[in-house]
Amino acid sequence: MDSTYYNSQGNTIYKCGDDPNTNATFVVKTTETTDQMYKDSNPDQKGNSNPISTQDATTAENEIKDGNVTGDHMKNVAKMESQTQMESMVSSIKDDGSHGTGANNNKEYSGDFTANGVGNLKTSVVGDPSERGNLATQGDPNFHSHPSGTVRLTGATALWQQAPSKQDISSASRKHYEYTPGMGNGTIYIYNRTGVVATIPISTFKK
Amino acid sequence: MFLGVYSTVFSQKMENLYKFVIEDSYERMCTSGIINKNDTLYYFGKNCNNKNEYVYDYQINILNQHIRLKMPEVNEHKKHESGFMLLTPEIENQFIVISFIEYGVNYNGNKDINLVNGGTISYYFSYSKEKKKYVFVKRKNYSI
Repeated sequence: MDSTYYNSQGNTIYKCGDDPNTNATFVVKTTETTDQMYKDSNPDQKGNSNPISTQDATTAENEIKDGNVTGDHMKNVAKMESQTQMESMVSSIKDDGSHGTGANNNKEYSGDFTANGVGNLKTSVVGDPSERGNLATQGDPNFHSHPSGTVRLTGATALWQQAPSKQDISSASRKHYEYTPGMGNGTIYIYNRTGVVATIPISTFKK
Repeated sequence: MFLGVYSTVFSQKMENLYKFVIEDSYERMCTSGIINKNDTLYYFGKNCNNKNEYVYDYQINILNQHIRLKMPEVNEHKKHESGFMLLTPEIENQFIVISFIEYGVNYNGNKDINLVNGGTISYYFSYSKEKKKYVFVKRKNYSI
């Protein structure tokens, strides 16, 4: 099977085959702890990470670099959607990551993965990080973005949390991964009900 | 003005509803283990006075010394605190709704701060004819 293996910086560490439609993508799991991943967050809304050790991440990366893609180290690798599906997810989100008060950068985009890319695309209402509001879209999508938008207050800037919230994680699937592209920090968070298992830069999947 | 009429007619001050919201949220976070009893939580208003302090529209009296009614101070030594911005009360159908935004308050290196919005908690109060005052009915969590 065509496969591309990434490290958490989004660098390709091993690749076999190059058909993007059948290409399976993998990423070495995160080593970031909950305290590191959510260091900027309010404790009542922060989710949690489910990290592996730095040693395990290094071992997995080195083994895969050598072309060894079977064995115990593969438990420290997360299988994502295909290259085409990941690229479709990223391109479906109209937040350009430039922050500010623009409408496109202050709403949530969500959708599901389909055989050909993504579908069931939805957008939330436009929000303001200094006001009450509910950005969540309806349903239980496979992915939803967190906005890059910001608003200037006196002596402060209000912005949106980028990593998945506690509620995102508690309502996530037990069986498959869900995805939150944080448009403000350029990071895709990959998680299930145990917490965030991997991260990878959004730029990895920008065409 | 409309909310002021409610306060006058029913001899119940809006301050009391805010006090309930603050104390209930603090207790909820303590009992659920999100914070411990030694942690200090900071609640502040959205409006700035002429000293650039974020203040409330109401005079709220809280006795718990681990609850501070001000924006937390962050700097290069203490880079992160938790802050809760209390918003102006709203009317939704038969409810008075008091909400606060849950922020991570972070020093960003330029004597400036970032307020990271993780979501909003709204408290709904409705009028009880029996008790002749507004009583807490439900709480809603709007995560992003």
